[in-house]
Amino acid sequence: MWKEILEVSASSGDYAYWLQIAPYIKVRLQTLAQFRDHCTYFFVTPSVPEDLVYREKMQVTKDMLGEHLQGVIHDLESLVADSWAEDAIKELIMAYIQSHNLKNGQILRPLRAILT
Amino acid sequence: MKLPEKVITFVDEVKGEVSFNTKEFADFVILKADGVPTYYLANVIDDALQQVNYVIRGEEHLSNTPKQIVIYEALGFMPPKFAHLPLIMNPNGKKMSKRDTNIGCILVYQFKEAGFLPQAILNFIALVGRNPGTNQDVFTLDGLVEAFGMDRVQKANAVYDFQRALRFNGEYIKAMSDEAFVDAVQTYLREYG
Repeated sequence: MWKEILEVSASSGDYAYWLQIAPYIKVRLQTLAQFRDHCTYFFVTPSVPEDLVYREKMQVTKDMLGEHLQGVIHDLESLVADSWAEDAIKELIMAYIQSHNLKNGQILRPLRAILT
Repeated sequence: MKLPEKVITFVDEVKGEVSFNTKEFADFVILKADGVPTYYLANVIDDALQQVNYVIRGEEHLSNTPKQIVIYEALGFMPPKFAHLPLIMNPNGKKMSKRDTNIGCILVYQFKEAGFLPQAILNFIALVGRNPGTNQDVFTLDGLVEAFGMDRVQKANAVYDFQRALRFNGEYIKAMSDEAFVDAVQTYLREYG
């Protein structure tokens, strides 16, 4: 898998993308092999079982989540690179939930499933 | 070879002054019936003819040293300086061997496959059984050379601590420039997938 990713990287010239993620990764690794475990999601879109993400009972449907995740992403994009820190991200997501009269679990639970 | 009855004393660079009474040893074979010399004789002659003046070897050879000193003296050679290094033990307290496959990486190819940087392996190995005498334990190659001294080699056996190797490697990875890190990761992934 990684050899293919490297081939694609080399042909599309996205060395800058690797450089961009480097500072966040290199502080977490004890071996270069661990790059495989920690960084696959930077290069391959993960597949998430739908039943972990959507839940009708909580009114978390594809349409609802699609709309609100776009909203969360839109807000997250307003964070400049320097502010991309745990507290700031949390504050922003919680503010989004409150301003849209959502329950925490409607956004946080599917987010956790998607990001894990 | 018949051993003279006497106490042989020499200064080991690690252990300090060491004495053996030859009464503790039986006379020993230096040449087998088929004309092949044993280790004791061959080792002394090789070293003497090559003018080896400093022998650094594992502690298991310490008890060979008085016998070899007798051979050096009998042949009219000047014995070299000796330094006997402590053994490296596995975490179970047994002498480490290449069959110790469950204590982390021990062979060079295993370190390479796991993605260790050469300087981290060097730093780790250089401090097994040796105390640099400061709180610092991450060294450049020049720093290692500067901090090296036989007086810093510990007398007690060393324990192989793979967690320490991981910690060193993490420190070295963290200290890399982003460019060097990306190059190292890409080279690694190209080689090992």
